[in-house]
Amino acid sequence: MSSVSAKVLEIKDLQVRFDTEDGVVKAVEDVNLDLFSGEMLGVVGETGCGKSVTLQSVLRLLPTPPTRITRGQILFHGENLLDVSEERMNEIRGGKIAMIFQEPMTSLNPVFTIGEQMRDVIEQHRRVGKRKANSIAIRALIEVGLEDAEVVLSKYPHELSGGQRQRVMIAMALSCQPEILIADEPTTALDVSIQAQILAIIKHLRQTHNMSVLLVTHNLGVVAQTCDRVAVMYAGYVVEKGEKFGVLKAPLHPYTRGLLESIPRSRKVRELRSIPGSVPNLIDPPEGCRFHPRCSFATEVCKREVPILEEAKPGHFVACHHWRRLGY
Amino acid sequence: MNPIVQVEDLKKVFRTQNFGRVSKITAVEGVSFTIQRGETLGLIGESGSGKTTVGRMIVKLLNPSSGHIKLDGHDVTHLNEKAFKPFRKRFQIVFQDPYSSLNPRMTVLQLLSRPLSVFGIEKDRKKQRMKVIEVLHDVGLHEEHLNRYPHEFSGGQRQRVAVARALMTKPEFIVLDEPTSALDVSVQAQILNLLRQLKAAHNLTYLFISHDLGVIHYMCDRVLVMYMGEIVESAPTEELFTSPAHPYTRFLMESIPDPDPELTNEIDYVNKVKALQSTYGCNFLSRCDRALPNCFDRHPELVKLSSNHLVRCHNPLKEASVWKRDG
Ligand SMILES: Nc1ncnc2c1ncn2[C@@H]1O[C@H](COP(=O)(O)OP(=O)(O)O)[C@@H](O)[C@H]1O
Ligand SMILES: Nc1ncnc2c1ncn2[C@@H]1O[C@H](COP(=O)(O)OP(=O)(O)O)[C@@H](O)[C@H]1O
Ligand SMILES: [Mg+2]
Ligand SMILES: [Mg+2]
Repeated sequence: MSSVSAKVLEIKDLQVRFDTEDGVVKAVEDVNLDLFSGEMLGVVGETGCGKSVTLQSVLRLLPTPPTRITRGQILFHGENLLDVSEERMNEIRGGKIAMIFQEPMTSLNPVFTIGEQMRDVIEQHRRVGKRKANSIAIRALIEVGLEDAEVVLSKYPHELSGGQRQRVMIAMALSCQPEILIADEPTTALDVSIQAQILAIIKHLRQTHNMSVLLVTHNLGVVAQTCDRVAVMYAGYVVEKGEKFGVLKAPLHPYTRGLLESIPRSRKVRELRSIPGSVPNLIDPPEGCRFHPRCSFATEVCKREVPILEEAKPGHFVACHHWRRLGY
Repeated sequence: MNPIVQVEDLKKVFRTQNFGRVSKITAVEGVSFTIQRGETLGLIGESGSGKTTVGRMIVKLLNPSSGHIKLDGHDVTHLNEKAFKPFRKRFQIVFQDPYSSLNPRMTVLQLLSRPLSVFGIEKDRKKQRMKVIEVLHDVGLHEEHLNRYPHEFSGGQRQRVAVARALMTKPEFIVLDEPTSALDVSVQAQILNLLRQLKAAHNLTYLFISHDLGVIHYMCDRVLVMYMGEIVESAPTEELFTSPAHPYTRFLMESIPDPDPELTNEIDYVNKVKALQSTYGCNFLSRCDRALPNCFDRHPELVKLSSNHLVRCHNPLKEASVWKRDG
């Protein structure tokens, strides 16, 4: 499916650094990701692997300093967002590309009502008057399942539940008819039942509005049930990517495999497999393959050489010196 | 032998003040269950359903508004802190968030030797240090960690420290309140394995609180499902997962996105939930797709389906489960 539709977003060779008192954080390394029209791409990996930094780079949300984007391009329909003016960026942000976060409170202003905030955003991006903005807001709220839209509009953020706030964020994003929705752990703080509803809403909207979605999550179940393709990040690198069926049913990278095997399923399992250790500090990351200290397949070459992301099977990429030995 | 924990008709009402208006929240109501020595009892439910409140009442970090708590056959409901102290040593609790539950200004050695002093287990510094090292080994940490502060550890290691602290007094029972909810799945697996090993090695009994059904399935022998402060279902793990009787239990199971992309669990969440409301009827009414006229009029009692399977529902499910992850 993805090979025939158009690329809407291309992240090319992205490298991001943070200058800190303790040293330079090598947060993102040579990340390449494509997003096709109408598709949903999941980005997974443990905390601290560079998922949020990658996504925030797309919209230039990271403050400089301490952030330095030292290499790469972010192409939105061929236009490099890293080069465009701040004015142009403001048009794109929230208009063409919308973003929602794990904690909606951080992006909602506590002293304004939902209505004031939604109308503001809509007026700015859709260039319509107050009246029209209000009716667009109401429609968007109803579309995300907030039936009593007028009541919601009159509320302040703290008067809503976590699930309601996340729906408001989605409605706000949606009301500007974005081509791309970037969602960073949008359901991590929510109960499973609310999570299921939010994901159903995102899936539904993506179909009806032909939106492309870039979804960050550390939950492989969420990816399996919502995305078309998945990219797995470890310590700043994309270590595996491809169609979700390939990556999740026949993973080629020991890290992906480790993540999948860590998911508790049944009491009948005597002991869960887990990945020993934890994500390294990226100021002084391991040489060679950054995963090697935690990998049971690691050999000498893994300590020396960074594995390149190669196409192991059509459309299925992996960065591991030993993927052939993994036995799939 | 006495059940190690027995709670009867527990109720907890919180009084809160909001701009001078006092309101009451009934966080827990009519909760009764027993925990046998050596078992792991799971407690599951959405946030706000009262799980933490139950856990904290058992170890008397909170006093119930009414009802009784018996620990190893002794009614401790009305004991003051001094009289409860011997029980505090035997009945411990570990919280979800290792960031806030460990004093950031204390080293691991200080954190872990404190219970030894407080409970008069060991006063001698040298011997304290040896005991601390022993327990650190039990949880997979080492002597070199003794002088570090909590912030110098990763989330997983910090939770190991929190577990170690609970183990210092050689407890018989531990409430584990979402001990892995803040951790990545890889690190969660390490901690779950550790908790299972420790249980076997030290003959522990757990009350394991979680909102993750996969975690509950892996850890528990028996499960209680809570909804709005009440137990709505109780069954041995196997049975609960193969034949859940309460629509809420099935709803929770269906809500979990399965990591196997070939097993789809699509339900129409947007339209499934009808807006039903009733003051007298079942708490779950507004979210239930099986409601009968009865459900509007009468609050259901917790009734026996079989000797060890209880459900609070007028129209319990009879069909087989949706849980596909087994094996
Ligand atoms: N503002 C910052 N200053 C310094 N380091 C940062 C900053 N933001 C993120 N990092 C570091 O960058 C790495 C990637 O972080 P992030 O993208 O947030 O991870 P993820 O979203 O995958 O959990 C981590 O090592 C993190 O500590
Ligand atoms: N100290 C408190 N004061 C007032 N309300 C509380 C307090 N602790 C818990 N509650 C309320 O009691 C209910 C149950 O909370 P809790 O036991 O923490 O649920 P859970 O652990 O299942 O998420 C919630 O509505 C919560 O807001
Ligand atoms: Mg993140
Ligand atoms: Mg809780």
